[in-house]
Amino acid sequence: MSEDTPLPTGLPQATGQAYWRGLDELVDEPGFMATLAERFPALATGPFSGEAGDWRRRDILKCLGGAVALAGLDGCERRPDEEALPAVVADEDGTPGVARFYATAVELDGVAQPLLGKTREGRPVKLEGNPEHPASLGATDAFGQAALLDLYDPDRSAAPLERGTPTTWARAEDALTGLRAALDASGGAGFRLLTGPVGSPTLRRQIAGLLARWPGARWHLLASGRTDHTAGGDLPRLDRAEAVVCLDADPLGPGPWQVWNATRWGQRRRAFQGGAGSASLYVAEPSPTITGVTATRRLAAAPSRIGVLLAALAARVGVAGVATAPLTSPERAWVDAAGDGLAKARGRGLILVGKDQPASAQALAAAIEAHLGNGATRTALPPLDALVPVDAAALLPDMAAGRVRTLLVLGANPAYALPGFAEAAARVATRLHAGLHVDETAQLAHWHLPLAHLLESWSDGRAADGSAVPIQPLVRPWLDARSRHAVLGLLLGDSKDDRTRVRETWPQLSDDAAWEEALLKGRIAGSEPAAVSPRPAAAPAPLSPPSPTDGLSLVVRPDPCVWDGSLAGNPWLQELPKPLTKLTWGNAVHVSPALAREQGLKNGDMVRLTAGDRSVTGPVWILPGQERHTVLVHLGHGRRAGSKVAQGVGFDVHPLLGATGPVRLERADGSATLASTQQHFAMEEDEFVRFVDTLADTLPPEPASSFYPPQKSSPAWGMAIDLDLCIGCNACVVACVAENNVPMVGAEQVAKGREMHWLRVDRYYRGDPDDPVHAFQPVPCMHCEDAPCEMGCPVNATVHSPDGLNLQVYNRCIGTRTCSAYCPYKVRRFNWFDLTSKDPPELRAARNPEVTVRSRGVMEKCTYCIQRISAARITAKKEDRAIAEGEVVTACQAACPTQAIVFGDVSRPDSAVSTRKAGGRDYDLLAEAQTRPRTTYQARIRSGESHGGEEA
Amino acid sequence: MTAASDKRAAQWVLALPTRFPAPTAWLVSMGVALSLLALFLVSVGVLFAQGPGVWGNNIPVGWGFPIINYVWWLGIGHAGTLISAMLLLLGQDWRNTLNRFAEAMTLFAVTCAGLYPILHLGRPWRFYWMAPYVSTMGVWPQFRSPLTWDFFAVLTYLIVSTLFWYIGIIPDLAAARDRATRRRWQVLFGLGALGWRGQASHWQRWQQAYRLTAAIAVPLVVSVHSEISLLFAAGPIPGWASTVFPPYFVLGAAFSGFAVVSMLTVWLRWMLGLHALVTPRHLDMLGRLTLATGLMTAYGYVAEVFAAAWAGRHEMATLTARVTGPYAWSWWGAVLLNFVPLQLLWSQRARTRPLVLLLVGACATVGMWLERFMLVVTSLHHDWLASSAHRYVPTFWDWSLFAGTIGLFLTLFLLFVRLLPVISAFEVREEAVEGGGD
Amino acid sequence: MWGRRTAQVFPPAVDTWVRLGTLAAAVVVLGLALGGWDYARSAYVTRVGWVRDQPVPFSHKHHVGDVGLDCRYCHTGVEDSAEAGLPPTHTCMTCHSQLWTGAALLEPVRRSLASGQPIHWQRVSKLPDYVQFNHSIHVARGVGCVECHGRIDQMPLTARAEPFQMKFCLDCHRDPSTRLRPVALVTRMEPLPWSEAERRAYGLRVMAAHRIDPKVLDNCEICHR
Repeated sequence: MSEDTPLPTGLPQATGQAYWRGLDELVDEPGFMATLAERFPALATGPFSGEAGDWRRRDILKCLGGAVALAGLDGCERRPDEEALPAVVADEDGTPGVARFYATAVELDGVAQPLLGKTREGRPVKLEGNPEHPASLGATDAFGQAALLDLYDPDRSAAPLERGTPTTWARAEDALTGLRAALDASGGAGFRLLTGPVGSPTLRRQIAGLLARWPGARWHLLASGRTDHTAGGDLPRLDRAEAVVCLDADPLGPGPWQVWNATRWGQRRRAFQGGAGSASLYVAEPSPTITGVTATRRLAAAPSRIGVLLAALAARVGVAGVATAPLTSPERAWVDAAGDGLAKARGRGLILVGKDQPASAQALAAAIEAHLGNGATRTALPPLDALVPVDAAALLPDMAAGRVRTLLVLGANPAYALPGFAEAAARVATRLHAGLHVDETAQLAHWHLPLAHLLESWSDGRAADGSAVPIQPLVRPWLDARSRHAVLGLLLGDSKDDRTRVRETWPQLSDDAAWEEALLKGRIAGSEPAAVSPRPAAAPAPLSPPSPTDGLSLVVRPDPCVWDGSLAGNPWLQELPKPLTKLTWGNAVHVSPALAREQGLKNGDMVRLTAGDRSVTGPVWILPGQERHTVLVHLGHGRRAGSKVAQGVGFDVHPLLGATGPVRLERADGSATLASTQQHFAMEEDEFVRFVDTLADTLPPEPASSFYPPQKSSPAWGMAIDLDLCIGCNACVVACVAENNVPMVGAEQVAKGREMHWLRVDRYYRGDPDDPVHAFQPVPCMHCEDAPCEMGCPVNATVHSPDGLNLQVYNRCIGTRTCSAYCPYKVRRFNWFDLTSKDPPELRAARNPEVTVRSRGVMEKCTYCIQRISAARITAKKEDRAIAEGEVVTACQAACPTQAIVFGDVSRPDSAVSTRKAGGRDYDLLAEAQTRPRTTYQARIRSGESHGGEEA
Repeated sequence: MTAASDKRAAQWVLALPTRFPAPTAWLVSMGVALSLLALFLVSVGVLFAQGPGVWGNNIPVGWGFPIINYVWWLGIGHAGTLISAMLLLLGQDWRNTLNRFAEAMTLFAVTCAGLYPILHLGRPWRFYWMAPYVSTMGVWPQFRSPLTWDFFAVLTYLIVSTLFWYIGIIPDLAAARDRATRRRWQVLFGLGALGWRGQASHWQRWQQAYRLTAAIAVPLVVSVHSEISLLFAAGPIPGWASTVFPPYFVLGAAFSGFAVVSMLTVWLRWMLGLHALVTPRHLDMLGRLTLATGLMTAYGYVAEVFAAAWAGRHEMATLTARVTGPYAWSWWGAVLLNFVPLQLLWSQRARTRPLVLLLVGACATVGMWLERFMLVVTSLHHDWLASSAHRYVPTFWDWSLFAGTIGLFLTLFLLFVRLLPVISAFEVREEAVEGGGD
Repeated sequence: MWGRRTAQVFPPAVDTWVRLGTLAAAVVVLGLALGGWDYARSAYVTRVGWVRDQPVPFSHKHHVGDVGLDCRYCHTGVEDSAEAGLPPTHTCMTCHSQLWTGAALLEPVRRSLASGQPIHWQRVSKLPDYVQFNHSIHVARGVGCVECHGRIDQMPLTARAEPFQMKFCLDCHRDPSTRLRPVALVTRMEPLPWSEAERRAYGLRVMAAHRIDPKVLDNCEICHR
């Protein structure tokens, strides 16, 4: 109660005995505290060292096993005793029960993804984007969200292995010391270091030191056919580009640059919606990507046709002296549209060409851009430093020839990702491997050293924009693992701790204030590289003549969910539906409907895919919108070792990497059940996803669905999802999983239609299956004002809150499933089995303590992140104020890179969500069901032309 | 047939339990029933050990076999009360030969039905939360929900039909007691007879009680299945949200009920040689009732199709899915099995043929089950959003539990046949004495 | 034929027995119902007044009642966290490094400090995991510790004072007026020298001042999420 509230008369002031709160009140004898302080340093206030802080958090984490083990949801009967384990020393990170955020990062392909780690009682429970960092702006991708689970992976390697048998770090250190002596003697001759892309300046500094110390040593890079951004290159600025042309390029797609590009695309598209310039996206691609789905104009084109299209485009915009080939009419139409778009946006256009395309194509694209003067739409980044790794491909011959005596594999998995490695490795005398798991490579190694996860170690990294990010641990390693820096340190014989190493890399952080600032903000000031002038456009080289189109063309891409296989041990990612196919737990051979018709294939039929002399066998998946004769396969599956989750899922297509020769597809015997979360993709006359042609157009007004007045309250929570901004990237889905302790069920259950995701991203197509219009639609609970589910429940387990939430009370639910039967959107999820109580302690520690873990036989669903609303409500109540606009941010909203999802109080006309809903593109999903959903959608705009184009 | 023969028949019926005519046939049937009962126990054990995931249910088809079978059993349970109570009040004496085992059938069918809503729960051990009782949680059930009313409906129906059946059997128990020679039968019947001595005052009170219960039971016949229909009608699912469901459900229930009664009649008539009591006239009446209710159900089908035609795109889509979709077999199966063989019953000769009646009954019983399958699965597996559509495939445990409940039903029914007078002897006698019948 | 009499199966007494049996059955059913209701609220289920074995026989009576420590001296989180928090070993040792330094009773505390291993207390006031209770808001609104934890200052060994069942929470959430007090007196253990009427009057004022609405306060999501 605030002090000004008047008390009733006759109230005595605090009578009875006097209460005291501190020793100083009791003992005012001077120096008493001082005595205590020296006896108990921990009592002395002042900054504790990070390490000390860490071990305190670690202790608490150890204690948490019992406390976080969430039991079943039984009613009123007697419960077993429970132990309470207070810390030994007060945790300087604040009171138990209060969350703290630490800025850090994780890496994908050596590109740092800036994050904020939310910790409770010293253990990370959720990752958010770092709003302070330009490469995140608070958004994350699916990988960044799922990194939390990688940290807690129970299958992580826990101790060094010597020829497969567990041993101690002491022995490993001896081995490395011996190795060091030998290398010093030989000058490093025959020593090779193999890593993935390395963005961490500190690690690069260590590698540079290593190469300087042992001139005979070589550093190899394993990139599995993906680009190593550390060598520098162009950074697209989609926020500045009013007309973007993508030829076999997928800037919005999954990968290290997704957050950067998607956030910028979101900015551009929102500006366009606000009337500030165009935001057109022209995509020609062999197989649909999320960039293609987002495109204002898409063309399905064989990889071999990209060059032709590019030439035609060049001619169209008036680049002189380009030889063009004849085009089909759809190609012609697309080229005209794209060309006009580029011409209209002269100087603000951007052409992106897939890296699978020949250099000549890249050059021609550069020439077109030069011709149009599109300088501002990309930033050229310099190489990080002078270090240039040798490609891993060059390593194999050397190994086979016995020129490699010692091989140290640091955080890479060549035995899986580099065909032929295993055989070659047999000729290498000493094989060392440091990694998170005992994976395929570890099994070949004489020494395996467990690496610490980035979220539990000190390091640094380079974000997509080239600026540096400090990486600080969110928790002390509970496994006997060491960081990559420590491992190299052991080899090089320097025993500094990682924090010192990182600080040494950054002289500008020498003073503590700057250091604290960097850790607080999660970025190292002044580390942004000076933008170099873009490469001068080379003279457009004559394009190689298109190969005959009758043959099949093969496209190999990293898996959109488990990437190159390094994330295949992560159940959240394995069960994440792939954006276009909604397949989970595995990969497939994607073919076009036309090809499937020709060869009489249906989903799940096993086929043998041959490229030259290499071939793989896997099930077929028919992908509408794929170019007739293109076959698409995903890397990252068919793992043979490592995390249990990863093993035996899907099939490995690495053999096909770089394979040359004709591509063939034959029917193999048998068929497989593919676990897809969606079985019907065709949107016939239904209008689940609605479109308007131009910015100026609005949807026809809905007839009043009911004569009952809409529910009034303040606050009244609601959500608006702008389908014009949604790129279907799945970040929201994983964010929801992480925030709400959503359990994973496995392939078999997904195939039965029992996945548990509270938020799903539906994908539809309309029109000719060979060249349809695609659309994504995220579907959380609609929180209907007239909710059918609420009426069905016999025990009041699903009820309506006064602020408009449709609640699910797990501990009251008895599982009649009536609510789900009555739900027109089928967003409810049911615990068909006990999915949680057998989780290992690591996974329990990963759970969000603010969300109840559901037991068997209980219904669950999206709650609009009720725990976040409640937290805000309680804070506001304590401060005697209303909840402020933007104070409640749902997990999906926070993660969304394009800000397609907006949540807030619809009772305020000025709130962001009200503004969205007031627009002319707002509509209810299934308005005819008359449920008055609080979640509404904004229609997609077909055109990207600010002045109302005529496309699509 | 004459009053004299009827009297003899009546005494013979009373003597049935003590001098059972067809022990082998009974033992064989009982063997089958018990093995199915064992299957029931196993299925329930597995279900409780692992959870409802052992079934084929999923999202969207959260309701599968349990609800299908629940509605099916409850429907079957309707005929008994109809025959006994309604026809009693209507003074249809011919019912007297059928009502006893029809009521028993009702009782056991409702028992099987009543099990499903509990077994189907995610947390069956919490089923009592559906009941309004004073709890330490300070919360109550939700009375808007059709399920809460299910709870009451089934319970009421079970209690009332038990009472009705028991009151009805008291005089026969007494008679059987008096006829019994062995001590153990005397005690058994004696306890059941509650000291009935057949005095006028007994008869007078008995008449009051019996007719009163009948009067209570008749509205239940209508109310219970109307209520069950709300389980679907209350949901905004295409193919469900229809205000005319209650009458359709009641008629369908009665239809399936009479179908099963016909089968049981023919079976008992054959097994116990009741030809003297269950005359062609009874078969004829049964046939007529089945035909009548069957035609009314058929009308329901037509009306539904007609309604869907103007109820909007989603309703139409569901109808098309029913007729042509992946589960079209259930719709066509229901239509064919329910209404094609039924047409045989137009002819008197067919109606009086036990075998014909048996087959028509069997077809209708299966047909009505298919209708319930069609109603639940076809509507749910693809309701509003194309994205949430998903196939539903029942598993072994779905089937085993279903077979198990049939086992439970047969076991109970066979015990009844063996231990108690299957036909209301005194009413038959009454009928005879009052020169009733023809 | 109903007139024909055979040897009676039962002696007349059986009538009485059957009647008695029926009566008894009714009584038993009724008894079970009442018994169940009583059991659900019994101390055996709610553990009210039950004392657990603790590694250290910590006496709130001594520390609060006699010494006069304020609750917040040890339970530091109670004002700004959902959890009141148990004191770290260091908090104990701030005093017990000076007092009772050698006491055998305190051996586990000293061992914990030396080994860095936490003391294994047995929880007394425990809520199910699906209940999200927040101490800070209750304290901020002036719900006294004593309302849920009872006269802790009179407990030589700590025991649960109230049945932590849903009904107990709801009783207050549905009518908080008589449970509210000035925030300054939240940790006060002795009953306030107020009449029931005064207390309610005060409570209603606080509820008005902070817009505490009982209609909202008993919504599911207030505790379950």
